[in-house]
Amino acid sequence: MPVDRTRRFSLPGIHDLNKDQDEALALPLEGQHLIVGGPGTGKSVVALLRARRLAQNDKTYRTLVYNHLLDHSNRHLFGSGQTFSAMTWEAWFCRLFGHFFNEVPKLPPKRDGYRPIDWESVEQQVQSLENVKSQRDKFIVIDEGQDMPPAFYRTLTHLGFENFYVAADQNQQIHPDKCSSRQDIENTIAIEPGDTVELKTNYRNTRPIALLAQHFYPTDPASPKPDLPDLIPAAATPELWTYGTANTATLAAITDNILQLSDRNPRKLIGIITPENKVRTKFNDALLRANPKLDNGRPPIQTFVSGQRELPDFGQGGIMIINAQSCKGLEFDIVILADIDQHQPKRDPYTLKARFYVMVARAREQLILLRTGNICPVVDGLLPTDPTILVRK
Amino acid sequence: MTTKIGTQKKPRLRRKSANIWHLVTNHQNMLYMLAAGMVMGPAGFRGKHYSDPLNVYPGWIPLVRDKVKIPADVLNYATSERKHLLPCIASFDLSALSGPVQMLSRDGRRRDVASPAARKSKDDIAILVRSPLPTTLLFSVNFCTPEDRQAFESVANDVSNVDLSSLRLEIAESLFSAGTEVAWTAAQPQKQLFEDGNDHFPAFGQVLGGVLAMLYHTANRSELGLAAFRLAAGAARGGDRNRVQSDPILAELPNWMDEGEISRQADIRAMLFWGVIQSLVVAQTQKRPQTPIDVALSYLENQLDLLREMEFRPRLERLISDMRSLLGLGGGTITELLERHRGSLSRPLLLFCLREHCTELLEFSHPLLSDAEYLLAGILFGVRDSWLQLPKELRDPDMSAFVAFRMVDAEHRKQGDNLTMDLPPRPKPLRELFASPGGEWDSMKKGVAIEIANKCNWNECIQTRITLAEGDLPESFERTGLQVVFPGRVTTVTEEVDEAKFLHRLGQWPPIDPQIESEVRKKLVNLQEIEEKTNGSGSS
Repeated sequence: MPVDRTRRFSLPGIHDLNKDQDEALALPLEGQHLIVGGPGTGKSVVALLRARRLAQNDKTYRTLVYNHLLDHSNRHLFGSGQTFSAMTWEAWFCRLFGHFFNEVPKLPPKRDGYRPIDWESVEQQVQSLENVKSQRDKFIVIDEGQDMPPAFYRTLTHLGFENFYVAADQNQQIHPDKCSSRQDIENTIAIEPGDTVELKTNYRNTRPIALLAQHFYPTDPASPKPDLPDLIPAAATPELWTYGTANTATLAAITDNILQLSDRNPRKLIGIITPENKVRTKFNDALLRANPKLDNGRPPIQTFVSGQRELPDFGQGGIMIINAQSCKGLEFDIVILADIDQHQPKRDPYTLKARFYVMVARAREQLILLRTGNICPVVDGLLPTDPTILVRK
Repeated sequence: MTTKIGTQKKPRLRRKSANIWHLVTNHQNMLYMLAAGMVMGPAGFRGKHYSDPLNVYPGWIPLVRDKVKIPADVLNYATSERKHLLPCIASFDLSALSGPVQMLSRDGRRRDVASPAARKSKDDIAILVRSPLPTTLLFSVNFCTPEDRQAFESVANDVSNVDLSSLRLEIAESLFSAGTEVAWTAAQPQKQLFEDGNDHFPAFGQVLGGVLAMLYHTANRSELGLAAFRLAAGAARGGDRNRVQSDPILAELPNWMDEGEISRQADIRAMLFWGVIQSLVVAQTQKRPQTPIDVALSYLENQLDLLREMEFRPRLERLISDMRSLLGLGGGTITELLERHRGSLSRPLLLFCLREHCTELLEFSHPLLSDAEYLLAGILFGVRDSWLQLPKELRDPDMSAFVAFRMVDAEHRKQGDNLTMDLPPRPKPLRELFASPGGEWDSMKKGVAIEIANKCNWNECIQTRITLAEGDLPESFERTGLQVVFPGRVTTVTEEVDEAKFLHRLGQWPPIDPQIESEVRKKLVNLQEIEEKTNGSGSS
């Protein structure tokens, strides 16, 4: 019988949720709410539980996320028991705007052909509207709310939206110049600073992974530094493997081990996060070539690159290879950071550190870092030397 | 106004007011205690206890007498910590509880009495019962408004380990109309008064609950599993003890269940296995516990230095090394690992590293694993998850009631308390209900097995026997799609069950649908009662 690779999202136990999370979940369905916290603090979980509760109460709601990949990943987490009403925020906004005006004004195309929304024109048009109907029967749940611009929130409030449940982390902004700060969101949707719920405990990662993530924590008080989780089973100290040099494992041996790791855990999704396309292709090709002894046959190997139409399947265990720029907001059971010595920009250690922070926090249970034999003082300087935080193999 | 919901299992009963006692708390604490299967002091909440009257008498449960107006301060205190808390009153029927308690009078005095049923004066307003109490003694959980009850149900719905299906949830506004005539000194925990209170995390009870649940769920897999469960549940039959004794590690299960310790004469493998278990229990009492795998590895590494039996050393070293490599990018398939490590010490410990939670173990099977190895892995997983972490699908209501009693009983025995309660009936795994004294299934049991196989689409467990009429027998037959066409007549068509295949499927995970199980269970229990009457043997 073929092995069952179905991944399951399990609800948290009552003991898993801390008092802040209880409070975030208990917020009334109506009104404006902002939940802030670092990666792994359970922001997305509370946002999904909020969506579930709105669905159970037959409310008209929409969950908005930054990109298709996150939307797709959330659908898996939400499960198939209820209809999940979710979209990417930009697609939803364009559709909404179309109800009021003809088309969303856009700026000239960028090099990749993408045309950003012209928020200045959007706001001018919206302000010209008279007698805007209240949208108080509609509920907006926003995950990674820091990634939407302030004008987005202003426009929605002008268009009569009143019920917001926003989960955000200022330390994970994709484009800091175009994103919203905690204060932007509080001001726009009228939240008293004391009413923002702060999630402080790392809920997703095991303690050793959280320890490493904390090492890369960018210091910004707007999102509180996550406390470390207490007791989580199956924890292991993250490992750093060097490969491809005279005294170390070959890439073929590493990929054999990755396939066997997946074989031992068929329901788990291993995310291989690569610095750029060349490394992504290298690992994809090496995994396809590898042929170690396996109990359950070859696991599914998927790869995803920004702009790709076909989205990867988060509902099955196996291996998914993605670039670092696509990984924000995603969650994998096991994460392998491939060729960490190849990450850019090497001239900006702060940005590099922030990138490592986001990548490391994607792992729920296990984290492995891989590097080639290249000398890279900037990356080496970022890594902890304490073997209780990172074991060098 | 009083209404009830979700009470199909419990018909509305009138209870004697003298037996009803109320605990004032908030909805979050109530949910936690339902998940834990026990009403307990703040230490049991591992830092998630919201202030309520349980803080005031550490190690004791303050229960207000029925018909006494609950002091306003008590109600306010139970929701004072956070703004999202909702008041909640848990009503207990203590008619089945006996043993010493403390009676509190209106003016704050307390006195020892023999039991909650002791004669009371009109000034006696509450009792203090030694913690913990099983949630099976709950008569109802009361809310002030329908909105509060709905919020309670919503939170329960958002978590994996709270099952409200057998609970009576009521709106009882009158309970919340607080009285002001009784003073309440809630602010200061009365530690001086209750030095012997010793509020602690009920680690052994919780772990015992996890183990009992895993033994119940693994009992359907094998005769050895069934024997181990019956033995652990205190209902061993004739050959059960001998079966369990066949494995030196499993042989110590009854000792551990009774005392939390194993015999001094135990085999070295048993010493190591139950030593890991004991370390895991102790770790749960620590404020910042290590991860269970780290606990197991540290224990085994310490034992390496102490081992006198030199032949075990290299094996244990290899095991520790492979357990460690499983936590990283180590190589090897599960088959290779199981081939490299044989025996009922190594394999359960490897599984402990390979899978995380009880449900994942129940889903796992491997042809190299023996029944004893699988059961011992189940015990390890039950200890790691303990009762609190078990999801709803592992909390069958009858089993939950039995486990709640056993967990609380174990804690009271450890504390040396003299509280006694009626033991709920022992849950019987389906496999046990199929067992017959003679070994052969009668036609009725076969009929129930076929019913299950049909409803669950276990086609491989059924074969259809067609008896042809005498005369010219066809040499061949024709198959058209899903039909088989025979020339001539048939006299009978009967479905037969392949018992071995059926029992194998019964032991697989996921279990059969609860609705189907409930229907067939009734039939099987009736059949077993008839059998026992016929054979003159009693049920345990």
